[in-house]
Amino acid sequence: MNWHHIKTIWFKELLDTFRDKRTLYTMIIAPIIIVPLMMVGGPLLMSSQEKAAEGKPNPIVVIGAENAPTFMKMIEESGSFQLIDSQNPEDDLKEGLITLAVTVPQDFERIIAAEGTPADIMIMFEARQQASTVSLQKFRNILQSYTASEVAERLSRRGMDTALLNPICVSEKNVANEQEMGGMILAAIIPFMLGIWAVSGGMYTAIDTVAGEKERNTMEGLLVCPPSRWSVAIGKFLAVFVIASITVALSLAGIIAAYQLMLPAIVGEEFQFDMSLSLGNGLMLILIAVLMITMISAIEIAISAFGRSFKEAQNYMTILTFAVMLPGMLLVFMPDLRLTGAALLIPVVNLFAATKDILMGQSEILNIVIALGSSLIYAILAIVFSVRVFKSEKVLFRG
Amino acid sequence: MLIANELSKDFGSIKAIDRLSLKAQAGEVLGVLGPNGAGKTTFSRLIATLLTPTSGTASVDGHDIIKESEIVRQVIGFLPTEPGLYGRFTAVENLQYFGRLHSMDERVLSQRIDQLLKKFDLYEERNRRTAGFSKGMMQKVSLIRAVLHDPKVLLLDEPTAGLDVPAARVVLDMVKEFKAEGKCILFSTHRMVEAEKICDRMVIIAKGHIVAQGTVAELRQQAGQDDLEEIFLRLVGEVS
Repeated sequence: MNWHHIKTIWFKELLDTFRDKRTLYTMIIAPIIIVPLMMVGGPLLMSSQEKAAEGKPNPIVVIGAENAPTFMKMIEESGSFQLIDSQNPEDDLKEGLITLAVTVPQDFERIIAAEGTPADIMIMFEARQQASTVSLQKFRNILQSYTASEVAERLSRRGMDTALLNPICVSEKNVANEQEMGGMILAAIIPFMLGIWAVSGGMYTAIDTVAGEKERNTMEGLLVCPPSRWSVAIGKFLAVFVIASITVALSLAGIIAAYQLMLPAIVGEEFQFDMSLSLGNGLMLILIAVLMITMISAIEIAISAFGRSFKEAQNYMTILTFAVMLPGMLLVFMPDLRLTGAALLIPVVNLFAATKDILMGQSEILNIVIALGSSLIYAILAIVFSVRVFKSEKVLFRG
Repeated sequence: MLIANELSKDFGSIKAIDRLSLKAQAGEVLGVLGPNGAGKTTFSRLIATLLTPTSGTASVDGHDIIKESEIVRQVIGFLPTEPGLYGRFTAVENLQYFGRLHSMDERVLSQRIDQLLKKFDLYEERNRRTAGFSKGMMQKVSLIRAVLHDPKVLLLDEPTAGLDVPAARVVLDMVKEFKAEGKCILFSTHRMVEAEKICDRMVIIAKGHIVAQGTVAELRQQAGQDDLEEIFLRLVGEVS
């Protein structure tokens, strides 16, 4: 191995990558534009629909409104509803012209006054329409306060206190502070993002610089130069590593920007979380990212060497993408998964789990050391493997 | 300068090169002739240390191709069949890259690049990306790359393939010049006429063997034939 050779190859591959628009797209545009859009887009859409449903009075139909003047007064005072007429309430509901169709029985006031059997109120709604479900909730709230005031009146007529009905007074307090809430959100997203961008960031460079070089017949010219296969493989690996690291860093910056700046500004303060990390945890996460990117970049170089052409290498890479994405998905859908036992030794999975534990503030130092230590060994093995593949003339000159 | 001794290379059950021995001197152009698939490219790749021989040895300028492969790669210049340039790099950038891989001094390198580009009439195009170059221009850049570090031995694999007449002429003139500089040149081709013009001696390979070798006159005498193409066909036909 010769440092001058490695550096020459490394810098050349970086320059080559930066001159390629396709790479720039996956490397820069995708992580810094698409990631925040994905993060902000969902909540933004949801909250705008909710706001739209909450903001203006929802049109409803009350059949037999004249039977319940007291109750109707409460509805009007709430300002949440706009009372309209409808010839065919069910169809109008389906078409979204009204949000609820309520039927009040003819002798409503009399039944209530009798204090015997309860009065029947029927509410039709359309579960597929958000405006209708929001309306339903608001209508229930009004019904509840009507009921509460009626019950209070009945009790007071009998000389009893309403406290009788509330044997328990509940108060709730979330002990997870803002920082821990932020950590939870990051723990769900970051391992997955780290995996995806570590794979896709350097993938194109790995393919272009090995399989692509074979396809364009430049490999022979390179390998007849003095650098050993070790130097060639390491130089190319370093280029892939740098590109993947830039992508991962940009995508993480994208996530932080989305949560710290864009969501609170666009959607509202309820999306404001404290995403700050302690210095130690931050450094630990950087170490995890470096190990992950090292492993994946080395494997990408090896996979690319197996490909006879750009296309073939691309097909092999799809398998790698899934292999890394699946454990990432697992963490998103199994939030209680913890880093213990065998999971400590499974490549990629152990780093995902360690990332999550650190972000949740639940990490145990021994477990983290085992996960990082084993990953360091895997990363070295991956590099040795990729160099071996590079030395194999069967692989390099096949096809 | 270049010695191959019982050199063999198998690919599975196929013997691409079978106990091939030859010698080439400094200042000599040795033609390596043979039909497609005869083993010419495999032989070049063995000498260039791209492939490892199954058995036998070879040395370049006294350096063993297996034990001292890195030194061998320093003293040879290799022109592959395909020019193989980096399309997103200019002519100069391509050449700089290879010069640096040969650990050439930056000042010497840039002088040498300018000098060779002028010689090959490519100086005006030096800062254009090679993706837009014609086949002939690419072949010229590729040839410059092969001689950039002033190698003692040149391995030229079909250097005129796909070139038009003027471009092929430039390449052949260059080969003569390199010969005059005292380089040992292995010129692999399947064009008899070209070989006759440029080569001091020839080896004719078929199915990994040398079926005949000598100067053109010696080959004519051996075969009792005047027409080189006829000689070639007969020699190659004998083993196929």
